[in-house]
Amino acid sequence: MAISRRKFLGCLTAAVGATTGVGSLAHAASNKAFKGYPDSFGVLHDSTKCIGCRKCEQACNEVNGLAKPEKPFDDLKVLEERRRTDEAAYTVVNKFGPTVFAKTQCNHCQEPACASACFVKAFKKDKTGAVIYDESLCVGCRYCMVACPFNVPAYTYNDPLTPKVTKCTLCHPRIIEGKLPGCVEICPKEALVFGKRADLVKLAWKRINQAPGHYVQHVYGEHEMGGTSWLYLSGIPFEQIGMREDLGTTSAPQLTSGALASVPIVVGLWPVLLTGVYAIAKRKDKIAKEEQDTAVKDAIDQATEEMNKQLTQLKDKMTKEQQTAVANEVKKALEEAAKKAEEEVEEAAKADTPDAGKEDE
Amino acid sequence: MDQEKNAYPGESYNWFTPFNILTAIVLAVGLVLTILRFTQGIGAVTNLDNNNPWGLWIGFDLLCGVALAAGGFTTSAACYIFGLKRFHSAVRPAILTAFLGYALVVFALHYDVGRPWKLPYPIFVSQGTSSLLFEVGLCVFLYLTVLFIEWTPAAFEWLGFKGLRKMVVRLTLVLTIFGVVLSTLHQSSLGALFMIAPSKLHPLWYSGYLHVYFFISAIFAGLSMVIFEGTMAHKWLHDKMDDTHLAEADGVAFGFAKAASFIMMGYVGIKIIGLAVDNNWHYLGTGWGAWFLVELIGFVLFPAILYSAGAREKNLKLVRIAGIWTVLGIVLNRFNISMIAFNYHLPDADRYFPSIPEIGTTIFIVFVGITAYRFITAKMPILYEHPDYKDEH
Amino acid sequence: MNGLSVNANHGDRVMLKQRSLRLLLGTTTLLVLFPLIVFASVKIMEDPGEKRADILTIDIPPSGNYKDGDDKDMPPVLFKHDLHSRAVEGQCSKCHDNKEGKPIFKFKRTEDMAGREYMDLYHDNCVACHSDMKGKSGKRGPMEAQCRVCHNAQPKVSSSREKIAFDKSLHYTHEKAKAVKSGIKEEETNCNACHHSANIKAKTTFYEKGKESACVYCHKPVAENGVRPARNAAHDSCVACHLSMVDDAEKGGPVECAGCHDSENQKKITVNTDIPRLDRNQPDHALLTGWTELGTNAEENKKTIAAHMDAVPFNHKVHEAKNLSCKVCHHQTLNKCSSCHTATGQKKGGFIKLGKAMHTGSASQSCIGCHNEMKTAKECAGCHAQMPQKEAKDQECAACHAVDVKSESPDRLKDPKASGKMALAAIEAKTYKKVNLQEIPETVEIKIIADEYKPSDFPHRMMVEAIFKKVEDNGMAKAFHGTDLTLCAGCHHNSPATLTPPKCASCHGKKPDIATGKPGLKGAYHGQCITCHQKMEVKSVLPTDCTKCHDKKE
Repeated sequence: MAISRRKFLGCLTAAVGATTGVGSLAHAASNKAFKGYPDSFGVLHDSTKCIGCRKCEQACNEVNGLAKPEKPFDDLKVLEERRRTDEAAYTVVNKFGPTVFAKTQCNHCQEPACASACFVKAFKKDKTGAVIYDESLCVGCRYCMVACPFNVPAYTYNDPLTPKVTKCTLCHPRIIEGKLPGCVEICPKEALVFGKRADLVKLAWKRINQAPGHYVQHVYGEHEMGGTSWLYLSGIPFEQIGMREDLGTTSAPQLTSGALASVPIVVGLWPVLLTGVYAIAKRKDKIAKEEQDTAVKDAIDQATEEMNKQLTQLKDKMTKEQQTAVANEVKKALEEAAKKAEEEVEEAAKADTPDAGKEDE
Repeated sequence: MDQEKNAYPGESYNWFTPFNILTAIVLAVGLVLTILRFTQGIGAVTNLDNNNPWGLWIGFDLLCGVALAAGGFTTSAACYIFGLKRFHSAVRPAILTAFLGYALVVFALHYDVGRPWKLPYPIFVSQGTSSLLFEVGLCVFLYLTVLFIEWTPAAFEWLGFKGLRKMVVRLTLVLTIFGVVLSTLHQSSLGALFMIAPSKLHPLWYSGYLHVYFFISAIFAGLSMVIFEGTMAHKWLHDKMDDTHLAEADGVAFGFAKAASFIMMGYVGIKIIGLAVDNNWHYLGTGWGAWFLVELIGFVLFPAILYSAGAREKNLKLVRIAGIWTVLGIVLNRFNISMIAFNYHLPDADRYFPSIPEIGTTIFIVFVGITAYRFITAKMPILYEHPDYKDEH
Repeated sequence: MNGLSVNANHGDRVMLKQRSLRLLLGTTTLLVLFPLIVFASVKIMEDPGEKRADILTIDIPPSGNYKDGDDKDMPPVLFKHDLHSRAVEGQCSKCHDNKEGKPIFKFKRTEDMAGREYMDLYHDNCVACHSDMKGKSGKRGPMEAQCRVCHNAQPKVSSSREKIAFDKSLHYTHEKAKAVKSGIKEEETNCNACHHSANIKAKTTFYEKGKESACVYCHKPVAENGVRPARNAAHDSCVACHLSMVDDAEKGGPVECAGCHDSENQKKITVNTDIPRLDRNQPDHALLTGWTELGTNAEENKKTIAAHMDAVPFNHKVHEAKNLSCKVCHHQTLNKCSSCHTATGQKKGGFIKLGKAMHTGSASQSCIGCHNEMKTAKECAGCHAQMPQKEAKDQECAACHAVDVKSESPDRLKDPKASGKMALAAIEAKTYKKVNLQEIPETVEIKIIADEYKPSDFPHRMMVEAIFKKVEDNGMAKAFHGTDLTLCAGCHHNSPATLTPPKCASCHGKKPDIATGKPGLKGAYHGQCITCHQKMEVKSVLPTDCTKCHDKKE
């Protein structure tokens, strides 16, 4: 294995360290539920009492110093159109029938989707129950607007350099002084009641029980999206006063906690898996190479042996040939020598014959 | 011949090709739009409103940009982690595309986000750790750094910093692993972003498995983008490619085609499982159902079949068609989730369609990317190996 | 390494291209067709279709002689009766047999039969007729092998049939109609044309004078003890009679399903106004005591009487006149309530005790239930809608239980005429104390919370006069209110009824009280006034007309 033990351990430690470091990213799905801060406030809106006078919109506008709208607040013809909250209107009243009206604004959820979605913690659920926005942190990504199931936050798109998210603040600066939110204070019909959320839930059910034919047997906001600080009563199905009944009771953070929880697992597990794959691949390559090397070596060895054998054979053959050749030569030489000797002997013999008298004369 | 590749264009170089002229026009218009955006606000340039806070810039520039830049981690994983060395020549172009892609995502975010100078806040000032967007931001930030580092060897080779280059190359494996981890996290988190709003996304697209779908689709998006870019590069930057690159190119296409086909079939399978788990069959009979089937069958299953046919028959043209088709399918899927099936329940008057300046800005950003790519591949050893460092990988 | 595009010869390339082309075409077709098919099929399944009042559901009995291979799971047939009755041009005999001149409202049979025969009966006859005749449009009905046209699992029609209310008005139409003739020569009235009693064992019906009552008392929604269900009884009597009048010069009743059961047609039925009282020997006034019977033992009787509450003097005559039909109160029988609802409860009364039957606030046949319904009328709702609903035990018993009978002789109490006189006496003894309007202040200045607006000059006397007028002609209201002062309590609530009630501010603070639900003064004033106007449908002043009640301060 090409990866050294040291290197492997190093990777592992890094992975564990990373997991611990980003541990706070995880929000493991559990059966814990946030019931809200004790003694947190809320508002009960009894839409059967609402007469669509729009005084709440006016008070909200004045208390928050918002830009005055084109049509004044006592123009009730605007109610013919369905409106939603926007940059200069933290709350709006809508008309759903000749005598049916309902007010809408930020519901200050117990587990707000906007706060869960915000990646700079620009939204905070205060212990008074209000969900408060900090403009100084906001980057302007508008994920909160995507996340809000009630479509409440608005954005000042036409502000080039200091755009911000706008929504109802539950008049937080006023309620910490013991005052009432602007809309609650001005409502002539007391269609809005401000108090401790727990008490308001009881009051809502008391009203329902005292006049069961008058109300739909449901307090909207008691459980929707995990519960909201703004509670509603209605005489007709909530769907018909513009409030979605298909939102469920799961809070928004719970919807994403599963995905978030998988982050540290991936951080811990992936390096191990990937290093493993790498190691296995590397080892496979190494073994393949070794096998290849061995095969090559074997082939070479075999070839060398073959060659040596052949060489030896050749050598033997050549030696033999040489010897034979030498022997032949020797024989030849000997024969020639013999022959020569014979000839010499013959010649010598010839010289020593009676023809020898020639020698005296 | 290698020296010529590195040479500056001489007097004979034609600056005024049709594409260059087009690029110049787009960049000029883009500059004007940028000024508009920062002097008059987002509202002046887009059709975004309070019901539709995310539009084309998020739907295309962010979601598609990140998905299509996934070629970086897939190619480097294939080559360095799985040890498939025959894809080596595709790594640098893929890393470059990924790096530019992510850089452009961050660039585009500066337009979309209300106060772009606060973009570092989530990481350095106030960490909103309950948010999946934080997850996306952190991982994109880290991954961009990783990609940058992975790209520097090419730059160093160009600049001749041998020592630095050697140091960075030694980190390749660690960076690759880190890159895959980060990519898994942020690709899936982009899908998980929409899990917070089940009441706004049509049931056929909303699922508890959104993060899984995004991650798996990102894998074959990346593979397809590598094939697609390979096609483009072959056509327009052929002269910048060396023999190794040219030799390995088809192998890359066929290998990736096989892998993509297999993964896309798996993706169709898990999409059907998602339908079954949520018991959403009855939606298939609606108009939305038909559209969903067009996306799944027409733009995922169909190109998967084309891929496998092309890989089997070694038909490069088919593979290339499949590549483009898959890329379109990814774009369609991201568009569906962020703009089309999002807010499906709102009346038509409240629905969103991008404005012309918005589309223009997106085109501008794409062209910035193309121009940067052309510059870098012309100057630096991306599509070829630097002669001084041949075989030193 | 460009694969076959370089190395292959031309022929191979062409073949490859053709294969790829075919692949492309094939999958394109699939990709276009498949979504369309899925989409279209589910779309068809969802279409709700038209609504008709004449739909009859024909479904086979669950058991009976079925053969293997018979499909018992075929969807039921939704049969359009009026369509067919028009197609046969009113000749009911084409489908319905006759008995004693009256049609039998079963299809081509007199008795019901087992499953298989039933199925064959329908199949053979329906298809035979469809084969024989064409409709006016030239189309034939479904025939052999067109099973699913009738047995449609996703039918495009649904029933909009409404029940027909046979109330006093409709009854009077029949009562005075010359076409409805008495079947018994000696009888002057034509009651016996419809009303009958029955000997169930002997399966005979006969007329019993003085015992006429509503059909639904015996004819229940389903057949019981050999008694026809209400639907069959109604059709056999009503429709048969209407059919017999079809050829007469006089206009008869409806013969088509939609004629009675379509909601639009129901609105066209003539409403009679001066309906003479039906004589059924009913008491004009009755003393409701609570005991079922008094025996012969005087001591026992005294104990029984003492154990019960004071008797309720009941003005039966007025109640008859004010209701649409007897069935409103006499929901099961014309006998008195205590004949079924005994003090301790019995099976005949559904185990509902007499107390519960009289006092249940949510049932319209109960005394208190009906009175609660009356309180929702716009003349009354101004005050009553804002009063929290009380349970029976918290209401004032003496308002009804007004006659002390402990010292009365049981014999007198047993005699309906005598006790009726006692009730009448108690009813007439009830006086209504009026209040002199001049004693009511003309205007009242409400200034306690004047802030953005000036104090309101409330036209007190005018309001009171308007309310007094509404009660003047309402005997029931007067009977329960007892005095005009009660009306004061409509606004001056939760305090004794007096001409000088306490100020609102003595109970209502500036802020609302969440624990008790008591509104603050602003909510109390606006809530009281505006809600009353809304409930009484006052058009002259809208809730948002702030300055109509108080001017704005400068």
